[in-house]
Formats: sequence, structure tokens, C-alpha cells
Amino acid sequence: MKLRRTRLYVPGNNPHLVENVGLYEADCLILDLEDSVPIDQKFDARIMVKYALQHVDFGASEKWVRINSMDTPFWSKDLEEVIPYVQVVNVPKVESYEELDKLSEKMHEIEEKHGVEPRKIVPIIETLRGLVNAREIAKHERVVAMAWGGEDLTAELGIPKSKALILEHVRAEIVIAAKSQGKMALDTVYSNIRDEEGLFEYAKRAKYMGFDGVGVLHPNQIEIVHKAFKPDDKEIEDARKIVEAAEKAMQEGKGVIALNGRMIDKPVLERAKKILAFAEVD
Amino acid sequence: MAINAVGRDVPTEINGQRFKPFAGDMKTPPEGRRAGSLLRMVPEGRDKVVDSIEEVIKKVGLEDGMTVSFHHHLRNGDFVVNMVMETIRKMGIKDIRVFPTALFPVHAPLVDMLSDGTIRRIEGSMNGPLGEATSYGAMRETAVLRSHSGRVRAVESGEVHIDVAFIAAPTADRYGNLNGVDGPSACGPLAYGMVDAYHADHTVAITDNIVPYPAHPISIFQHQIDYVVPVDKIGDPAGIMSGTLRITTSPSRLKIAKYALEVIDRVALRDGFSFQAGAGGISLAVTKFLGDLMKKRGIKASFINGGVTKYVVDMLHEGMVDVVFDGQAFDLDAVKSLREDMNHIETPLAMYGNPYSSGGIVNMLDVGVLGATEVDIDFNVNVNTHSDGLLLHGIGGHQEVAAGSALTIVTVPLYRYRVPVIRERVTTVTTPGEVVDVVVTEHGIAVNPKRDDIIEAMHGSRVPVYDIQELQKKAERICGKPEEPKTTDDIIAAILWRDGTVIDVVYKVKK
Repeated sequence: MKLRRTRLYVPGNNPHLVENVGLYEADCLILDLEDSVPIDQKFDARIMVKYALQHVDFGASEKWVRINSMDTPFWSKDLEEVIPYVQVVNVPKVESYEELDKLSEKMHEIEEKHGVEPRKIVPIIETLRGLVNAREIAKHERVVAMAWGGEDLTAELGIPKSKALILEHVRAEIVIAAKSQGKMALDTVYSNIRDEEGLFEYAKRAKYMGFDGVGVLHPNQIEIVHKAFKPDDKEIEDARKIVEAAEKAMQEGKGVIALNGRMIDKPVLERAKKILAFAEVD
Repeated sequence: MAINAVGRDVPTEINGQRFKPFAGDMKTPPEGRRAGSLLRMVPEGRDKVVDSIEEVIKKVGLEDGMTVSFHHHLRNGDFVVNMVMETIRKMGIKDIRVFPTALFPVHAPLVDMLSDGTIRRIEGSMNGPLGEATSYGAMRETAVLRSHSGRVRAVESGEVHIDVAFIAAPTADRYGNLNGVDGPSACGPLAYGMVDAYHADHTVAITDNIVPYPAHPISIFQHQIDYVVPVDKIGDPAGIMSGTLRITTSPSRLKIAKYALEVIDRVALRDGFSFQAGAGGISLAVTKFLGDLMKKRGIKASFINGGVTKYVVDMLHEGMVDVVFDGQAFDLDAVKSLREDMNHIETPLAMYGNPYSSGGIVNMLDVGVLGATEVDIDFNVNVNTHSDGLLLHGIGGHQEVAAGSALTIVTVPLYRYRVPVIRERVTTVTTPGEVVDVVVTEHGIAVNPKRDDIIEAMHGSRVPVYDIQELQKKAERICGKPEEPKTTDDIIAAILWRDGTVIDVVYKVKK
């Protein structure tokens, strides 16, 4: 199972930060062409990211690029440079399924040209319209996970983000939209990079909300989030028993999995497998 | 010139004095007896106070060509070296050999004294501007750099004879008992100055805190001090003591510290083990992480040799270590602990790592974690020069800790500012590869092939283990091949191994 507990944002215009990204063992690395790159550096950053994707050692991390949103003139040029080398395209401010279709079409064109496999998409829901359409967006075949951001959304509502109670609902809606389609749900970043305890609690909360990961802004946040997402010993032990019972049932050709006289149905087995994956147990 | 055991072409004569080429650690046995200082008559009266530095210089009879020594416990906050040397200059005394344990950027005023004839050479560590000026040829004679213990050996063997030792003393009484734990310029131990007090012909304490007799505790005793000179201030506390040192937040440095911790855990961590602590960024992180791990496992160390910081003191006071040996204190927590805790022991530098002695603390160390400016594929380490050839750092205790520790770890980034740190050949050899066991970088570690036991212990670890050649190539792949420093054939400094043999030289850098 591919884990996406952490996705580290790395500004695409800063070679110094890009060169060591593979060392920190984030599950996903996002070379960012959007918010961290000023408009007058979009071209340079795009080219730098293109070469970084080819030559920098990403270790075991999944290679992502956050392109510019589709209401800018940059997104298609971003795709042209990065599609041959990227694994996941992170798309900001997605508002509809149709938008993703348009993006997917452009991706297909470039993939065909370069003879590469179809790339995945992780849309970021950042607007009220996007939120309303989240469940449709999650249905897109390229989408493997859903992420969200609260800045634009709270601005639309005219409330400060730090006090916005609605964000708890947004979180829940993202989890429901993603999970109902069998996709991953990814929580947003914890921006105080010095507050290790706060981050740990935030990540724990995200985990029990149903998220599969959170965004990180600094490499030092990675280990803390991974710890927060690690199941406790009892969870691991229970999960191990369930998976072993399932394997035994399969070997014995039984259609029903039973453990301690209880029937184990599919979602419970899937949860057990997920727990073991998060415990980094084969 | 002769080729030494690390393949460097080194002189056999430096400043008119004969030196042997480096033959390997513990390969050159000592000769002769310990050197002594002048016998003196007990002074008349009960007061050794002299009112000014000029007056004391006249009393000790300092002349052209003599040798004066200083310790560096006041680090970059020191006022004593500059005030003494400025007085010597004003008095028109020339050709002085300055023999400090170390000099810092605050001692930049000495650069002018290299050219006006006051100083003929410096034999000691030169951190910053003096090293840089020397690299460009400012010093008339050849600088000589020794490790902490190498300096003790040089004094004890008579290789260097000190005419006058000027000892900065944060606290003194009028009869010459000194300590470093009290007073406005408190620095902790006076370990570096002890050998000078014992072996110099004349000894002068310079203090800004005279207390009633007897000053106590006593680090340097009255029978070794000839004169006491009160001055307004011997230093700036801000430069003497760091505030509480903070663990690095650099993710790559933290990665290095975590990899080093795993090596220690797999090779040396057990009840009763011992380690060398330091105040550098990575070293501090290793100390902190090691403390956390010991606490988790319920492991207690027998001793820590420092470089003492709050992190070490906390471990002592939490009962995680029996004894702290202190040759240098870096923060006020360390000073306070040295003053108050009898298990926090001030150690004379002669006890540290002198190879020509009956054994130093380093010989009892299980783990030493050290830094470097460069490391090469033979595990040789440079701590003195940068890749541009400039002499910018002293040796400190690097050589003896590396030679003495059962497990010597050198922690370095793979490259700095896109210049490889792991290279085919270091610019200057400070410490030979034969005493280095593991090199740890943020990309992974390399184990000296002679340490099969460590290679074995790292099996199954998540820390990537490479041949050192692979690390070197990795660095070159990222940064390109490093340029050679642009130097002339003129030797500006000699680097001595701790036994007094010549391990390398530093060449003049072209401007």
C-alpha cells in the first residue's frame, strides 16, 4: 500500500532546498510551482523543477509537482515540462469534474507524445464551489487522493481562517468525498514549524478524522507526523491477528473469515491492512 | 623534506628546530626527561599584586625574542591577549613568540604586530583573521599548530619553553590562588592554563575580580603564580559564554546526528560507557539525542568528557552519568555546575590526551564524535584549512580524541556551499585515517575497512552504509570536482601530530 502520510512542499525556485529533498523520507515530495514562486520566476522555476525531477535523488518519495491553477496562463506550460518526469500532479483550486477532464486531456496529449504512463492527480479543494463538487471531483479516474486548503474558502466567507469553525465541516466533507470513492484524504499543513507537540496533536487528530496524511512545510515535521500516524501496539496486534486469520481462511479455501468466534467482514480486513501499512509492517 | 606516513612532504626543520616526520600514531617513542621552570625564592611580604601590565613586564624582565603564553578560556570575549600584546608593542619589545592555546577573531589587532616586528611567530590555534593573514604570508616565521595535548607535550618535553605565562583569571586573591568559576568574567575551568603555570619561568595572573585570601575553589595554586595584576575587565561575558546553546534545526544536520546516534547505539551503547561531548551544532544534537536514548533504555554512562554544556550538566544532575570531566565550559549552567557539584571535575589539560604520559582521559573514552572541514578517501581528516587553502581553525582536541576513543565518529555534511567535503585528498591532514572509524554524512555513512566489527554491527540498519569512495563520488556528482587551492610553495604553518611529529604543512595562499 502506498502511504501518503506526509507530503513535503519544496519551493520550485530554490535549488538549495531542492537538492537534498530525497534525504528526509517524506512519503511524497511536492516541487511547488504555485504559491511559493513569484510570477516573474514562473518560467525559471518550471525549468528547474523539470531538471530536478530528472536528476535529484528523491529516494523512496513519490514525485509530485503542484502546478499553477487552471485560472492562470501557466498550468498547461507547467504540464508540458513536468509530465514526462512526475508521478502525481497536484492541482490547486479545483472546482469541478469538468475542469479535471480538461486537465486530464492535456495530460493525455503530453503522455502520448512522450510515451509515458498516465499520471495521477491530487486535486486541492480551496473554494466553496470546489467543496460543493468535491464528491464528483473524487470520482475522476486519475484522482488518487483529495487535499484541501482553507485560505481562499474562508476569504470567500469573509471570516478569519484562525477562527473559522466551518473548517471542521470542510475537513469532514473532504474525508467523506474521498473515502466514498476509495480515494485517500489528505489534510492541510500545520504551519507553526517550531511547535512539535502541536504538530503531533494536529496529525493525530487528522488521523482520527479519517485522513491518510497531512502536508508538511519543513523536513523536521516529517518524523513527527509519521509517529502520529503510527498505530499503537494494541491496534497493530489486533490488525495482525485479523490479517493472519484472513490468510488462513484463504489457504483453507473458506469464504468466511472468523476470529475468536466473530465474523470479519471486508471493511474490517481492509482497515487491518491499512493499520499494518501505517505501522510499516509487511 | 621527508615523506611522512600519510604521504605528505614535510620539513625536518621548522624555525631552526628539528622535527621528525609523522610515522603513525604511537610510533615515535619519547626521549629525555620532563622540562622544568626556573626555581624562585619565596617573595617578600604577603602581596603579589602589581598595579599595571607594563610594570609586571618590567619585573619579569621580558626581552626581545622571548616566548609569552596565554590560555583561551575567555574565547572570543578575551581582552587579556590584546592588552598584554599592546603593552609589549608600546614598550618596543620585538620578535616575541606568542604561544597561546588558541586565538579568536577578537585578537585581530595582533595582525598588525606581525608586520611591525612585535611578533615573529605564533605557535597555537588561530581561528579567523590571524589564520587568514598568516595564510597570505603575514607572519615572518612559520606558525606551528599543535593539538591541546600536543601543546602540553611540547611544554613538558621542552620543545617549547615559556618565558612568561599571562594567565587570565576570572577570580584571584592577592597571593595568586586562581579560579574560573566566580567573578564577572567567569569561564569555568582554567584547565588550559595549568601547564603554563607549572612550566613557565614567570607567571602573571591578570584578573578583574580580587577576593580576600584564600580564593576558593582553587584551580591554579599560589605557589605557581609570581604576580597578580588587577585590571578593569579581562573580558566580555557575551563572548566568553554562549547563552544556552540550541540544538540545530537544520534537517540535514539533524539527519547526520541521528545517523551518528544509530552507529553509537549499535556499536558502543551499554551501561557504564563513556563519551566525548562538544558544543558544535551536530555534536550538541548527538549529545541531546544520546541523552534521550539513554533515558529511554535506562542506561547510565560512567563519564562524559567535555566541552561541557547545559545538556551534559542536565545528564549529570538527572543521574544519567556518574562524572563529568571538564576542560572547557560553554555556558553558565556548566560554570554553575562546576562550582557546585563535586562530580563535575575540572581536569588539567595534562590529563587529557598527552601521548607521552601515563595515560589521559581520552584513553578511557568509548565514543568520540568529531567534526571536520574535509575528509578524504583514506579517512584522513582536515580541521585546519578550508578547501581554498586558508588556515582558519585550530586543532583543538581532535587528534587525541580520535586517537584515544574506542569508536571515533567524524560527522560532516557531504558538501558545503556546493564544495565537496568528502574528497579524494584533504587539503591538510590534521588527523590520520588510521584513528578514524566512521564518517557520517546526511546521505549515509562510511566505515573504515579495518573496522569489520562496525560493518557487522550496521547490518540490518536503516542507515545507508557506503564505501567512502562512493560518498566522495556522490559529492562530486552533485557539486562537480573541487578546485585545488591556489597556493605557492612557501610553507606558512606546520601541523604537528600530538606526539610532535609533522603530519602536514600549510602553504601560502595566492591573493
